[in-house]
Amino acid sequence: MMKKQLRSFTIVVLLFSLLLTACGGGAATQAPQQAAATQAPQQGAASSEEKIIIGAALCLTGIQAPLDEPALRGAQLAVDVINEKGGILGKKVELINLDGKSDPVTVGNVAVQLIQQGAKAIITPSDFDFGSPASREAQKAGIVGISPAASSPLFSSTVLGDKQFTMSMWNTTMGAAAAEYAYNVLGYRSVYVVTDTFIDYTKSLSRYFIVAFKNLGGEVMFEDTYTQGAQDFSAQLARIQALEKKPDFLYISSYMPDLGMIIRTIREAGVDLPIVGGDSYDDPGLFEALGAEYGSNIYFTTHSWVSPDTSPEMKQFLDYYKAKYGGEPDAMWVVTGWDVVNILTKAMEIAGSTDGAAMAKAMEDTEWNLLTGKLDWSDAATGHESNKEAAMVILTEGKPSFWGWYRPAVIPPP
Amino acid sequence: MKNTNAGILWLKSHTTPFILSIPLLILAVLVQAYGDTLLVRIVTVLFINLVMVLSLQVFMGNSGILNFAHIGFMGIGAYTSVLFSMTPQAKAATLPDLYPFLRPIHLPFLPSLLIGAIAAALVAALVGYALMRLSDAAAVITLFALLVIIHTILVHWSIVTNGPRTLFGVDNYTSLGISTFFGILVIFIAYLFKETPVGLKLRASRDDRYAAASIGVNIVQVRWAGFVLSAFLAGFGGGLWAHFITSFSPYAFYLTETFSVLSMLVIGGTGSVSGAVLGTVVVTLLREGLRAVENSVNIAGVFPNNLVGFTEVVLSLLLILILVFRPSGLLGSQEIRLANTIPLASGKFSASELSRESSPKEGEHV
Repeated sequence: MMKKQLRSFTIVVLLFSLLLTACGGGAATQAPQQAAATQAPQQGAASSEEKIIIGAALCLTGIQAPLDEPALRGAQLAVDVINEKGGILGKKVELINLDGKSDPVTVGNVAVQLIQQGAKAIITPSDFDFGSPASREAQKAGIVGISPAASSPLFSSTVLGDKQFTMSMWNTTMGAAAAEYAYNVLGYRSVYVVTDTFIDYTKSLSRYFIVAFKNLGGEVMFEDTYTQGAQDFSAQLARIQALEKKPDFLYISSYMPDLGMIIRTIREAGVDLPIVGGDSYDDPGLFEALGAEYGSNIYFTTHSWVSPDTSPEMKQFLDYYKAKYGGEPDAMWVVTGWDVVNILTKAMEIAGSTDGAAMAKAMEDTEWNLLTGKLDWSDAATGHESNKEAAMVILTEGKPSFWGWYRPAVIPPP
Repeated sequence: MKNTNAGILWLKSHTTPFILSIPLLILAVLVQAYGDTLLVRIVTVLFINLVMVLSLQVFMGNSGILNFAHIGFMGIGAYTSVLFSMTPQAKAATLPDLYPFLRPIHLPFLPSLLIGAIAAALVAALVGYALMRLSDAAAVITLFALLVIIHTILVHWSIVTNGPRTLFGVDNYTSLGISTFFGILVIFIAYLFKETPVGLKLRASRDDRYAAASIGVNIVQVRWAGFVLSAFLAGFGGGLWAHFITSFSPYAFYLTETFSVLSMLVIGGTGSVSGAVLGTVVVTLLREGLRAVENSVNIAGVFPNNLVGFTEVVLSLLLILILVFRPSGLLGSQEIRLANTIPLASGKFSASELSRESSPKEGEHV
């Protein structure tokens, strides 16, 4: 008994000392980097630094990985291409990604680490919950933070600070684009809305869609709900079928895997009303789940259309991608990573430095023409709202096709 | 005189919380003085985790009932404390539909934390009494169901939680000093609870509930007391975390966090306060150490592809190994204490052994 206790006591003492030395060691090795980081601004003018570091806190593991991992690939590709062309401000660009692990605390820690290593801008995860801790640290350090695809209106300069951006359109734009497209282009006047109440994304998307559609003068016949994971859409279907006057279309704000089941249930029951939705429809898994039989008369707003015939720039991007990774991008998020790095490096060129405030100003003042559409940020006082074009895609017999870019005239307030 | 002697004797037989907290205190002071932002963040979170793991130990360790509902109480503490600490302007921005009587309330940080903890304790007190009648698998499943219920309410009570959306605009009050203070406070509370009559009865009910009942222990009552105290402390943990991360959604208080806290406790040993502290420190140390290795290997480009998930895989393997060799955790149910202060009450040592090991004369002069 006594020996056991002594032994465990020794273990504890050893572990504590290990912790202390580990922390001490960490502090010692990080100190010079910190010093380097603080000296950097003075040295920057004389260009004695060899490279410009862009930090990324993208998550390669956990629930955030399916969005962030492709974005990192796109970002790395952009850095490679820029360096091949000679870099920025006469220096090479280096992209350092530390895995944020889909954990808000780790994402914040990683951002702090990147800033200590001299990062001049931070690419944050594509979600407000996981991305905002990195943006807050970037803001504290006075550098630009940008998320490739966080569409929450919370991802704004009013919440996070005057040097923080998201490259995605907000859900306000995504909802409004669908409403205006349906009203103006398709000529629809009445809608039946189904909202998945499981996550914020689907709830807020429906809300902005409804506001925009009512503003146009459209009629919202009923606001129905569904909960991801319920795996049963029969009650909602019965309500749709019982309507005396059929709506012109259905707006279904949900996401995979249940979205596939919902649309199949509707189509199997012989209801062939047009279905409209947001960027969660932009998923090859959905196209497969619906197939040629059920995958028709479906319209959705998304971020980009990845095909060589969209634009010469897109073709060039796809060529670069093929050369580096072999094959086609497997997810649209690759393009967002590419765009983000190009914005950051161009902002550095316009600003003539890597100063955070100057870069933020350059980002606000420039009208960006990106692979993910034209983009114009509002100033910091109005939240860096991203006025961005939405890509309208039509699904016919399980095959998506690009209708074109659509920019809503009126964006509802967040 | 007699009283001070009794006090010293008592302290000598209860050195555990001091031994546990002194190195942690030194760590906190060193990090505060010499550490950079990253270290301060890591150690701040270490102490918040300590509060969560110790509060879990208070109920789970002493009652032997696996408590899945714990993180739910953390969530209640987080949301309630935030409702009181946020400025009216921030509340108007993030919770536009908030009940009018809550809108103008703006309390300092510590009272808000306390209110959050009281709210968690109240919920535990209300629902707990009936649940404490259950043992074994039935108790575990009902407590898990309680976690699901709390989570569902947090997700859908949009007026006060902003629903599944992120609540933002919380001020960052949880400094290293604050979290250290609460971490060490909870070490003492958890240890003292173990030694109180209620704690002893609760432990008796864990070891043999029929025997404990036969000598007059009201099992439901002592379990209930442990459960409420555990929820109260978890409420503090939630409030501390909320004011550290400053924006969060109900998903932060669900399965991921549950398993993270649970694994820290199980690694260290559920039966003892020392185990809870050790588990928290060891898991944090391993996770940060492995993350540093993963990052430096990736930056140096040792392998053609990035090592993704290295931390998670190795951490899990190490945890399996620890549990294979020490199934009841690193410390099991032993407390760390100075060797020469084994309480006489344990009665397992002969007088000669004791006299050989202890040095009472020195002790008296202290």
